[in-house]
Amino acid sequence: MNILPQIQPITILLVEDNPGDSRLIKEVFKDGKVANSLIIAKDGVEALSILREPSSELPDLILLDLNLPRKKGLDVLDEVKSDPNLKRIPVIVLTTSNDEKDILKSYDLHASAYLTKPVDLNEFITVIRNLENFWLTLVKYPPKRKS
Amino acid sequence: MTEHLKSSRYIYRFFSIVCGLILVSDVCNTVILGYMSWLPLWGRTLCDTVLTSLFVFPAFYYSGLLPLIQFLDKNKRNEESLKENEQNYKTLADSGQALIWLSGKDKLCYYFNSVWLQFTGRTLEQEQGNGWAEGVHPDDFQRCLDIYVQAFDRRISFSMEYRLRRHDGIYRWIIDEGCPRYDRKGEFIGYIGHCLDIDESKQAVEALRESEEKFRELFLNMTEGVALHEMIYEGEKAVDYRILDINPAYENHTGLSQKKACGLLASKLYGTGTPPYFEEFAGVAVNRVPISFETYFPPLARHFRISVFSPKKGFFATVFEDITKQKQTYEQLQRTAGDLRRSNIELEQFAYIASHDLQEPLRMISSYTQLLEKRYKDKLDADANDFIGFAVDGANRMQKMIQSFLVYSRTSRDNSPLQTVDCNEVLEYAKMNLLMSIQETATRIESDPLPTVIGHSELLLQLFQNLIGNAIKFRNGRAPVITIGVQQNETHWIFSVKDNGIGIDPDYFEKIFVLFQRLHAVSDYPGTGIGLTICKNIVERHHGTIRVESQPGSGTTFFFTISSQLKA
Repeated sequence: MNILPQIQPITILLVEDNPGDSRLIKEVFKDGKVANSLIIAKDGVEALSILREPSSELPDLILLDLNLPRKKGLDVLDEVKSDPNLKRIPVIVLTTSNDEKDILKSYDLHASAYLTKPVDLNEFITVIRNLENFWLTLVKYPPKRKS
Repeated sequence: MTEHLKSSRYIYRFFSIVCGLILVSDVCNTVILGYMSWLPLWGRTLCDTVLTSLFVFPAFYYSGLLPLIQFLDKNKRNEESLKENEQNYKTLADSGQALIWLSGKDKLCYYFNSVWLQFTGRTLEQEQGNGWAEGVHPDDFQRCLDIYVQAFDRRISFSMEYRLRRHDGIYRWIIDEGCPRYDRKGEFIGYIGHCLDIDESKQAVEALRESEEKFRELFLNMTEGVALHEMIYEGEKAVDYRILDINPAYENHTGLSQKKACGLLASKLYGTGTPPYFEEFAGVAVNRVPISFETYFPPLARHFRISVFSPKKGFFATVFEDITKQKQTYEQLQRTAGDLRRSNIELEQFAYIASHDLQEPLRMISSYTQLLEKRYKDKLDADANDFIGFAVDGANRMQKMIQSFLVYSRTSRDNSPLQTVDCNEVLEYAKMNLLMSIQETATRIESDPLPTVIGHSELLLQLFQNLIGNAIKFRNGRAPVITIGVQQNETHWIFSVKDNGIGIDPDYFEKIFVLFQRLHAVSDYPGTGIGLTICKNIVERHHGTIRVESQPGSGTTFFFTISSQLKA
């Protein structure tokens, strides 16, 4: 089932200001044995500049925290989804907030999924693994490169 | 009487003169006839007669017999005209509205006109003398008698009001005016009086007086200051107003005395350029449409509620109430309410944000200790394993507390609208949510038919669920039996949730409702100690109270009330 990703690791842009969390997610990927290449942006502005950098390749997936300095996650989401070049990249909101308003707003702005960071490590690993399964088996790859 | 005396004087004069002249004529006759003895008898008799006549006629004349005759004749004519007059007077007296009486010199009444007799419904004979006094109201009699007697003795007029019994037994107020009578010769002959029924006007006057007194009392004693003003015009233009009258409350409120204020122009009295509220007052004085407003009056540094009306054009009255205290209290209350509201909002925000943000570092601790455990469990010694275990456990517990605290703060922040809630349905939902533990413990739940109340359905569900959940959790080694009952008083529904569990020591009845208070070790009964705090919060949001009755070992009953006065 997981033949494709092993051949071609997915590129993930993680937008997360907390180094503890970035590292944790990295570790969880490692523990979950999800092959990937992880790019980390520490805030919304940095994330958008990475995405809009002409020379760089677009990520397969954006993991987006909502509570970010400089530019809030929902604003980043809005900009990504309003940008014709970026709007096809699936965005998964990964945050601690389980505020209904955040969840609704995220889906309104066309987030592909909304996940809350579980406290329990094993639960987190399961979530990430499911995420991989979900995206790599059920969802068709978007066109990967800029034309 | 004078006439009578006059006539007897005439008679006396007449007889003395006649006797005198007869004596003189006899002496003359005797003397003259003595010299005329030579005359025959017939001659002497003739002469005697002639002589006597010569003396007697003048005697008659001078003695006043003629005046007597004239007097008698005139008297007769007077008597006739008097009789005629009297008849006229009587007719007049009887045809009028006035009740008329006459009294003699003995103060006793001897005449009452027919109007009087018709009024009292009594006969002249009954009324004569002192009979009439029987009809005077006992409360008025002595006063009237005193006035009459005093006036009578001084021969002066009097006027008095008293109640006189009418033929139908009803006392009517009459005014009685009496004056002394004299005959044509100026002799006092008694009193004449006339009375008028003034009952209706008297009552009207009395009513007016009472009303006047009532309003006067009100004016003097009311706590609102009242002032009557007259608008001052220069040509057509109102320029100032004058204070005409003020009541004591006005003095109290303003500190201005009646002496100082009355008659003074407002601009002078209050020391303001334009008289206070001039436009408003001028409008009322002209349009005569009352107005009312609240105001702060800087010269006195007080708040007033002022009502203005115009009793007649060009005049206006102000009724004002010093509301400084209320205003200050209200402002204080507003401030306190504002502070409280802010404080509550801040507290809620704090609770929410704190618990929310606390989760971040906590998740770090928890996740990394778990990662440690996962990767290095068997690479360290037993102590290290224990330490990691405690750290993970602590982080987990704290996590649960924070989450339950979030639930609690959510119940506080819940601002879902009040709605009609069928408690039977709520109970069914609660049972469904607890289905697993109910089945596992073979719990039996019995319930009275529950009412439909006005409340927050989500919160009521949580309330029932928490109480039933507790009853199951704190069971006493046998299948829990939970009985839910309900009663009603004037203002509230009173619910009871009774179990057969382990019970609670009365020492802890208050403590159990306090946040994070636990009576048992986590290992015995898991939980964070927030369930009953949430229950209390929910009940209070429904304007109710919650309390517990219990004995250790013999079950617990929670009683909570929900207001039946809430409106959806």
